[in-house]
Amino acid sequence: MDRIALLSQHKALKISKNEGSLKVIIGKSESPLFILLDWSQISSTHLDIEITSCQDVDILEIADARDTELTLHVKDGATLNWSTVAFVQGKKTKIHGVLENNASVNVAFADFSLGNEILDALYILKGDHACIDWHLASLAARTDQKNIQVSFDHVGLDTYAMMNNYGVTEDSGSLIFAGTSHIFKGSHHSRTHQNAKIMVFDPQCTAKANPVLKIDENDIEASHAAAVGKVNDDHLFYLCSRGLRHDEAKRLITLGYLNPIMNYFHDEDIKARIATEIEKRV
Amino acid sequence: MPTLYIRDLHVEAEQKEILKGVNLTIGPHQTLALLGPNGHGKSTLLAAIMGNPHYKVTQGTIFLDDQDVLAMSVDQRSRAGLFLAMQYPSEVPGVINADFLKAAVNVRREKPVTLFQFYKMLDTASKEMKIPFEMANRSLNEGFSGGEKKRNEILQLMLLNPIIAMLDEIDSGLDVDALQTVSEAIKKEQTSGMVFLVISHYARLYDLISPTHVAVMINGQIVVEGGPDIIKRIDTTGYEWIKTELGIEIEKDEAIMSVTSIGSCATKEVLKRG
Repeated sequence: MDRIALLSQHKALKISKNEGSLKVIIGKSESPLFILLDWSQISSTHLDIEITSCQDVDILEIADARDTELTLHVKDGATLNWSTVAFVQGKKTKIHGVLENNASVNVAFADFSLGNEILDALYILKGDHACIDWHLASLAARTDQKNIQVSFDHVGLDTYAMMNNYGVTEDSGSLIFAGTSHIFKGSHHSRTHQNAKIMVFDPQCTAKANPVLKIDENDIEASHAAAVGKVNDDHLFYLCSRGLRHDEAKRLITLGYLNPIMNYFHDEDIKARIATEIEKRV
Repeated sequence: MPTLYIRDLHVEAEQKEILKGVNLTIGPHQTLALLGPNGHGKSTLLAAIMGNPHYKVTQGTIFLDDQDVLAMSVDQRSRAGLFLAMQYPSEVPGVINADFLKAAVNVRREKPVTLFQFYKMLDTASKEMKIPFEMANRSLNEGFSGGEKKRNEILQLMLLNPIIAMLDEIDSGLDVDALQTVSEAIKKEQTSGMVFLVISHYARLYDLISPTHVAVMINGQIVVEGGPDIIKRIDTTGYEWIKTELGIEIEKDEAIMSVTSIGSCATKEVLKRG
């Protein structure tokens, strides 16, 4: 699929500067929009992106080593498919998203960056029926310190958030999954689900999964699951009992933790690069 | 000719001795039905033969012909020709069934199977087991029904072609049609010379696969060995005759339910007002 750069001259893109940050309004387009956000091609580190009503947009973000701040405003009925790949040196990323009525956001975040990484994401489901589906895979190896915080505020009626964070930590790496899903008073019929799992390989690793629910309404649906542990012995036994050597079985199980993130990427080159990166590092 | 020799096998789990000196020989062209009340060590025996790390062998030997099984790792036992179709096959999220099967096939070959050869093998086995081919692209056993998991175990058996196949309650979770499918596959493998060690509580499976030998395990030991007529006797009268005729007291299965609690995870926070 052909992607247009976020800051390219395209009739659907309206770009303006505002006190050091860039604002991009993604407007109406007759065909679906596939946009590339490559931070290495952008001088500013602050971006404000607005998706206009009823527009469908697919954005592929390629992270770079700078600290970045991103504000997303997804208007009524708009759909945003957002995928991020991070391969380079770690950094600090701040995301603040607001979803209006019937807005829908699907996020896939593949974090295979080296070094330290802080991700602080907050999505406010402000409008009625707003929904977000979040998937993240992260690998913390060597002495990487990674702190991933993903939060959702449910404000509108019948809002929906699903968070799936999967991680692997090895060597002396540290990986922390945190974040709060908060259903505010008045957000009737909302549903929020958190799923955080970290597989620990070495005794020196640090891994914490602390998803928190705050519930201030009654007629809602909420769940959270957190698991931190080494490779499941029963899984290992099952695979070895079919002849796979211990290391190969462990590798397959680990790939099984990280590979599913590729299902959320549609760009074949990026998928191949993620696969190579996972194979190289596991 | 393949023969499995088990001698004076003692096995414990969680510091409790479960097998207390098992002696059993399973030879060429045999299908041995292993019967016994629940909790007397049948599944433990199969798990110990396969090398499940939850079980610790404290005494005794297991040989596959002249190979010391207990000296082998789990994967070596598999490659030596042992196979265990498990009572509760693990669900392994993210590990794609086809990738796993291909890896398992390849570890037995000097030259890796080509993609075409593999898919042909898988297609044939899937059709035979009446498993939709698409299931090969799903995570291993994840979201499979009980019956699908059991059929997937037999599909693996067909692809890996072991010397000795151990089936632990392969018939649980199978409806009548699926039981027929599974037993047809077992019969086919019996004809080709595969040796079977089968645990089931039901004569229905045994009627379909016609065991050649029967062993009864009570209190962690094999107390009776004989022909298929024992199955009929146990099916109609239970195990009481063992107590009366052989004077063996049958220990009760003392599975104690663990104490569980359901915790509260959600936090409710009273927001400060104005």
